[in-house]
Amino acid sequence: MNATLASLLKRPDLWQASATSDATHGIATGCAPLNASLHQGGWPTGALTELLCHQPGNGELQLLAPTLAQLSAAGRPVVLIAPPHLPYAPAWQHWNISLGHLLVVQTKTLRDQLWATEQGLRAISGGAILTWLTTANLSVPQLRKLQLAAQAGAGLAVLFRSWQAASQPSPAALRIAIESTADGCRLTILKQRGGWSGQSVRLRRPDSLSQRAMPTQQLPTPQPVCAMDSESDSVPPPRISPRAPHLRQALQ
Amino acid sequence: MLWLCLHLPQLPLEIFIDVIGDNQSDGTGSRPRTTKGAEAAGQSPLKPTVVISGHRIEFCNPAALACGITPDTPLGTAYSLCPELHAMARDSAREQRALQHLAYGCYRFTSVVCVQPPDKLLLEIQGSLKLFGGVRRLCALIASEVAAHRYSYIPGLAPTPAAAQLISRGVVDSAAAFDDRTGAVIDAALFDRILHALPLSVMDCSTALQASLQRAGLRQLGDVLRLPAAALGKRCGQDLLHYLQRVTGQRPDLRKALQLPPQFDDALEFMHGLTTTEMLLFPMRRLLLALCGYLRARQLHCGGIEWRLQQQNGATKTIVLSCASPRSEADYFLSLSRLKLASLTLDGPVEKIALVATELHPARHVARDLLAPHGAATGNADTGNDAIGELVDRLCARLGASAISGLASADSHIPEYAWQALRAPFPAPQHPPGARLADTADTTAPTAPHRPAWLLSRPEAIQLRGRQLYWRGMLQLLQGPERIEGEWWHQPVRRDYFIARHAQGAVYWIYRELDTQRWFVHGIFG
Repeated sequence: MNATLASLLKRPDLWQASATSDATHGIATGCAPLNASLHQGGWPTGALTELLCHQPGNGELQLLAPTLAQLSAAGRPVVLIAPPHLPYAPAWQHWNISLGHLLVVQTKTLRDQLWATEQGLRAISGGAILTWLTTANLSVPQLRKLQLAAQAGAGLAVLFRSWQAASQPSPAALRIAIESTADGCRLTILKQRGGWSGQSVRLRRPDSLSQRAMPTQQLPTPQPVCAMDSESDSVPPPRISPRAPHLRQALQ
Repeated sequence: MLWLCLHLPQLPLEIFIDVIGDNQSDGTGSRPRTTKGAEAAGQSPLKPTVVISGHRIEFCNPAALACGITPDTPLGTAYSLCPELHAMARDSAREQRALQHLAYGCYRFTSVVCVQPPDKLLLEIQGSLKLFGGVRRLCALIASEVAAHRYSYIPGLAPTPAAAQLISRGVVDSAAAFDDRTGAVIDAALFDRILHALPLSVMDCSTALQASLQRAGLRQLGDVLRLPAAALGKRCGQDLLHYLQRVTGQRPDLRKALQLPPQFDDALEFMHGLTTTEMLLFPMRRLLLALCGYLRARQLHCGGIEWRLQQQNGATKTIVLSCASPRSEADYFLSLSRLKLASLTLDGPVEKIALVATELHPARHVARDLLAPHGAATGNADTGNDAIGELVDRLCARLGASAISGLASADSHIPEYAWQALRAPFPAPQHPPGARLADTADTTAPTAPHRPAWLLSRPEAIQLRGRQLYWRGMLQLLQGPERIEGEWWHQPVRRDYFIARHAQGAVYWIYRELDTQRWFVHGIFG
């Protein structure tokens, strides 16, 4: 073979048609339309997956929950690195994610977070790492480092990034943008290594979370009780006085 | 019986290796056969170094030899030959400790390890030959153990401990005289030749006696052994006779074998003080090697260690390391220590490093499948747990133990008390995966109310504008109310929970405080 050709074939960023035939199978997502759009039939393993969303609460965890449940049932670890809020145990349990395999890592700096993610990616061997990167500006070498670690660990590696990151290049194997809609969310595949991108999948929330369950007149009418309460967000969280409530009502 | 004597002629010099850098020691000239841990300690170039006792130079490293300094060169002359000479005062206590550490390491090859101060270890290896596959393989293993401690040594093999000590001080290896498999003497003539050719100076007897033997025209050990015993005893005393009988095996030679202390607690001291964390790693590695030899010898695993770094200003820094599961590998503890050191700032030079094993557990031996290939034997789940344990250890070492937590549900219907964080070390999941899945399926009835994936650590107040709820945008109520009330004895809670949708699509879990009628966001549906 020609030396130039041989050196070209060694380049990891050069797509080769022969490489698709033995493509590995991904982990099924639990959502049939999404499985159909992903050429591996599910989440890629041993490679980065980026989920881009505006803020937490767009349905991104609901999207991952079946996969995480499946992994933790198989005894694989699920590691959350720098989650945006406290993971609430009853909900995760409700999704059948075994809490015994869940690990939460809080980091203070981006450097620590990237380090912890890299360590985790190398160690999980078939489990899942979910990391919430709040900063939009990650350099390609930083991401590339994570990608190499993900290859070593061969697990599910999910980076949650902000919507702004969509315009930046990334070595991730799969990039999905998540947009909220009235009844759930819309997933747009921005990039899929070895497959086509551009597909769009709708994911519906459970009806109880997307529709009004009761007539409007039954809803309580939020009313300001006193002027101070309605002022601003600076109201401190509630400290309930130890006095018994019925006494207070009697006093009023 | 087959005894192996490890003679460490350069020990007084080599204990300072961490201070002066590596010395490819071949020091005082007479010992060509040194086996050496070849790796160099760091990048520090070879500095000319001598060990002095009083004002007399006793040992010098090759760099010093190259400058023309030899043992017994006056110190003043040595300094004029080489102004940048390092002169270390001889530290016998530290030599003994180093010998003790090496004895811990050698304990895994045989249960009979005798420390022979000042510079010898005696190992009875006959009983270990079958297990380790012969004299040559066992000697190679022992050589690698000594090399890990970065000492040079001369081996001496003999059927009696006294003879092994003698041969280890000579220049000819006696291994060829022994059968590799059984350790029996197969070439007695060769062994006798080697033993008899030794000079009298290697004998363990008083210098006066040696001088009188020299005056009698005896030069080699063979000359003495050939003399009639009765006449020699009459002339030179019973002690010499008994000693010679012990050498030849005609008289029993009792040695006190090493007994391991119940706890491991050891320290290294430095005259000059260590200023950087990188410099600390070398002595740490030495102490950890000693610890691991000790753990292996006592069949223990260690669940946590503690470093105490005593600084010259009197302050002591303590580094506590704990493992997810008890371990016994030096490299593992060293890598955790390195992570801890990265975040440590030293106020002054460290003059003493102490290592304490805080948790000792009986070793957990994993039975491997005889037929299954190596590694795959114990099953994936087990090795996975180990990998996670190692990950937790590394994360704890760098980020602090408070940064890592597990998650568990708690028995309360008040949302903020319905979960709890578990701190490392985490108990390993006990049930087989299938059973656990069934458990959770039972507890979560299909009619269970919706709970959010995220809980805000502090509920955030919602603004009221007219009759509209605002929190980072307009909120629309979808479902509710679900009343949660209780715990009057602790912190009374009376709330009506609703599910509300944000104008941009996110769904929140909000509540109204019944007592104050104020609204708060408490959770986010993922």
